[in-house]
Amino acid sequence: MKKYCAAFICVLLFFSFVACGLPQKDGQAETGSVTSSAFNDFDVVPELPYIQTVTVPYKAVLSPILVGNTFYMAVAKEDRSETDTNRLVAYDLETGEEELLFTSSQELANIQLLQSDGKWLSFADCSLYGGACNIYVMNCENRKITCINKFSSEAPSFTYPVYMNGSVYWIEEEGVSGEGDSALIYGSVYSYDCENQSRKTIAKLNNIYINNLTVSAQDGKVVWFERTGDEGKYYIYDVKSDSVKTIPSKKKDSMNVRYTDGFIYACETDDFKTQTAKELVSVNTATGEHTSLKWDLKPFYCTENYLVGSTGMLLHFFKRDKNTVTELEELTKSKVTTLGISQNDTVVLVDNNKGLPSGELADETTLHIYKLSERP
Amino acid sequence: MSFILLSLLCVSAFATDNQSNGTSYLYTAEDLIILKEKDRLADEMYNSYKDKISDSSISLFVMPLTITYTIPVTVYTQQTYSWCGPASLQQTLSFHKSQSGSSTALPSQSTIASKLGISSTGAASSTSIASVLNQYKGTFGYSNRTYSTANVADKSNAFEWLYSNLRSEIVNQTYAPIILIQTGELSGIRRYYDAGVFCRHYNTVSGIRETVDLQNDNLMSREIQTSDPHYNAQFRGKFWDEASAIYQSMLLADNNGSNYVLVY
Repeated sequence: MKKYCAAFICVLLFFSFVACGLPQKDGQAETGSVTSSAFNDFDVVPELPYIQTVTVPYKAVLSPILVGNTFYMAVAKEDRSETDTNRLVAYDLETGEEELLFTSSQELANIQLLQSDGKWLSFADCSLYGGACNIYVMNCENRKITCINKFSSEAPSFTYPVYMNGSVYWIEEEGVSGEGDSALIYGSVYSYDCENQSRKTIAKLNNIYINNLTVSAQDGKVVWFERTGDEGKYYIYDVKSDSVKTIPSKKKDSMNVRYTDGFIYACETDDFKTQTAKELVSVNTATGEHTSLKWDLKPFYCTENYLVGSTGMLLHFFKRDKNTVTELEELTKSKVTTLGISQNDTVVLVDNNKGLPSGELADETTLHIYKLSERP
Repeated sequence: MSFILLSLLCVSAFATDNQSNGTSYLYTAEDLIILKEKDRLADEMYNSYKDKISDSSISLFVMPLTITYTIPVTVYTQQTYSWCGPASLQQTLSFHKSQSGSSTALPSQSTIASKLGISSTGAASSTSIASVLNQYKGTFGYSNRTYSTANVADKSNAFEWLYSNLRSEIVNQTYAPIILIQTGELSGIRRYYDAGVFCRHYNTVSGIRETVDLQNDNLMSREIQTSDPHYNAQFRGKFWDEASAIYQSMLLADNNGSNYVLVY
């Protein structure tokens, strides 16, 4: 009898494991607000009217953004002791003319996280091997570049500045409270007004972890997440009214928090460290209503009307209308090394070409410009 | 019955020591022989465990079986923000020190950095990491093994090539490989998603874990444990990630530069 009981328990445990432990299959839209249109699987970037492919004369490119006919991007022109994108350039797409805007002060650098509205350009000058990310803004008209925050190499792991409407926002780690397992990293959310050259503290955070190192900013709102004990909250800072509103998360932890057009998109979980019971949700910031999107989507970028997500070796493109998300196509990203988000729903994919038999990079890089708004 | 099966299948990893002799880290004819031997061992390992999980006698209705292999790697904090290379090398040496029972102290990261020829803000190359590891062969008792370097993007069936090599080295407890990964949002590694920032980072591989569905003998998951020496405690420690995520982050690092992404 004991033998049968043991076997029965094993069967139950097996099914529980399968039901709870496995991620959903990519592309498996179930319910809620995600619908799936016909999928197009591409081994290479397809030739479509809304995709323009160009080649630029650099060994590597990072964070390219397109403003009018000008590419702003971080580039590597040669291999030093490594291939590092240590120069910031403006590159005219029509004439091929290059203007050097900035050269990194790091020994080996990855200039990255470029964002611009054509008036101001923000970027981070980071060490190739992490840390020491300094944030800069450039006046696009007179090319004047200002360092708005300089981090010591002891300080934050990563700092991800976000540009919105003439200001830059970021989270900064400032110290550790407590010891051992109960130690918590505290810090602040900051903003920098490019026009007035003024820095401001928006809020204090008491528990900065890997999942809430960055803010998301769009449509005049700055959003971040913080967990206190067993409760998690989304914080929505309204720039115009200079006020912060909170909405509780349904689960204790949240990650990949993105805000756009009145909705927060995030992956909620019972525990970030174990990522148990992960669920992608949209949160209506007006009503606080949560909608399950039933999607196992890794971090995604928001353009004005689209989302770009990543799962395994695929990039997924979604059309977004409020909290209705429709998958358009997926793209194998085995050759895509990074991407940049520009205004007007434009995404630039980077394909750093391997050229030499030794595996070194070729002297040119292919960029694919997806103008998502021009999709039929 | 399930307990019997679990006991039968949870086999221990026995260390073997059948690497070819070699003395230099560059791709000499001798190194090519060593590389071929590593490939052969990896193939043998892959075939042996594939055979094991497709054994048709194992078809009872039992729980998924997880088998874990780890090697003793001590996690060290990198002493400057760019010294993940020296720290990972120190971690790898900690494994060989443990295996050999040597009483010699591990070299400091400053000493390692000096041997690698880098400053406090400089970064190591994988070739120099392999070279320095080979300088310690006599000290920490792995004279008959040679660390070499490789990329992944140039391999056919690259993922299986990588996984089989790592698996072979961990199961046989012969090497503690060092991998070069790429962080950022397109990286497959979960703790580096949100950070968003794009940088390169060395880790030491310290374990593999496989879960087999005994219902149909399929592999349900393959995971790799990395020992991360990150200077920030949030990212530092031993982490399990899907093998495909590790592969993806190495592939990104490979496609973004000319530095080798595997020291093994």
